[in-house]
Amino acid sequence: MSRAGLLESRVGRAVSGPSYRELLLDATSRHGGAGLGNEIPQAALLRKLTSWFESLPDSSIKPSPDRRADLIAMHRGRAVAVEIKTYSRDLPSRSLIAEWRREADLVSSRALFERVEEFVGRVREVDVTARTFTAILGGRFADPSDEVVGTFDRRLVGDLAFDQLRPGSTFTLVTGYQIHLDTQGNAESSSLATRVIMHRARPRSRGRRAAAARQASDLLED
Amino acid sequence: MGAFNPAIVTPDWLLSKQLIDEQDRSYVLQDGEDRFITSSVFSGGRYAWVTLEFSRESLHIQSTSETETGERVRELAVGLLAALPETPVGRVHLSHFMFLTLNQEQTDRLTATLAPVGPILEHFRDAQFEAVEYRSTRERGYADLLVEPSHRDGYQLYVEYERVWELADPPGVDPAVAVEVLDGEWEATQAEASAIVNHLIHLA
Repeated sequence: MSRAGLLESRVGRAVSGPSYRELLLDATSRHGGAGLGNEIPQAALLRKLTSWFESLPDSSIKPSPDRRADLIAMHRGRAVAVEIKTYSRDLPSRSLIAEWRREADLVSSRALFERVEEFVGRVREVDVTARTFTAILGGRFADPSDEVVGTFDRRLVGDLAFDQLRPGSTFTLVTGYQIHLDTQGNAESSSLATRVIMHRARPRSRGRRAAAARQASDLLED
Repeated sequence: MGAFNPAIVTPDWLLSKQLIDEQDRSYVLQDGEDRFITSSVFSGGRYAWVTLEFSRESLHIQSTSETETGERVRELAVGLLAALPETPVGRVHLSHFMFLTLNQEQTDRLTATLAPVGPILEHFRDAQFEAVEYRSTRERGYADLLVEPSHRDGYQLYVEYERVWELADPPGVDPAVAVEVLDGEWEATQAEASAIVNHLIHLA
């Protein structure tokens, strides 16, 4: 069995269970904290208490000015300081946390995407009149000699993204099967799907700007 | 990890920054589904293709079963950090978690290879594999590998590989530095995670 098969073959199990909110709060109450990935458990418990205080009439939350308390709630004019202590033996394992997340994922989504192929593309030409764009596509880590050129309809990226396309824009094109699951987690329908994810302009850090300035300066001196 | 303001990360704000689309917004705010939670210390949204959780100390982005490719998660992270240029970032964590389906024989073989219980059995009766964790020091941080039994039905092992870049002590650095890490290290980290899980399967 391929690795993908090993990882994905049992995804479609029966799905029924708590909502995302219930999952977070229930995980918090049953296990004295945690429920949220790698976050510290105190933070999860703090969230529960915060939302509880916020749901009370005449209540508000403010930060603890001297950091001696994790939370200060104002309830009917009186301040309530909350300090949270938890013990490592109470914590659920990371696999259990991952399982909760995965369950929430399945309960909520009822679909999955099985990737088949992924390309990195660079736009060469945009034809606004014909509403098409031409791009060079290459596989990730692939030999540049394997690159192909294709012309695509604007519908592939959607109107909004099409208006932002410029020669030089880069994107990821991924094809795969979009599988819809019924309430029991069995595949209900499956269709071949293509998605284009446009790459955003990257902010430059001070260090990188300085390095670019030095390089430009060296080039000018040469 | 850094210093974030969870209260601003609403579906409307994300839409205004073109980080999600109208369909995503409608999905997360659908009546009766409880997919979005917000308070002054935490904001969480469970979108079809991504789960976003902000606390004051961390921004957590996780793929779902509908995420087409990890690239979509990276682009979202870049977009979020670019939209929050004054937010200091201290660490970047890139985590991969995998559930493996193995038969009992494969599971026993793999766990006996990773953490043999034989040497301790004489003095610690009925010892069983519980978990094994490794850490490797890397440039600007470290990598952790965790293998433990899975609690999910139909899966025997849970594998988590996490690469951490320690960029700065509090208050942190320009988020553009985190973007540079995501750009420069993403593919190598994905390849490493993939190689590790393939090797574990080979050992099994």
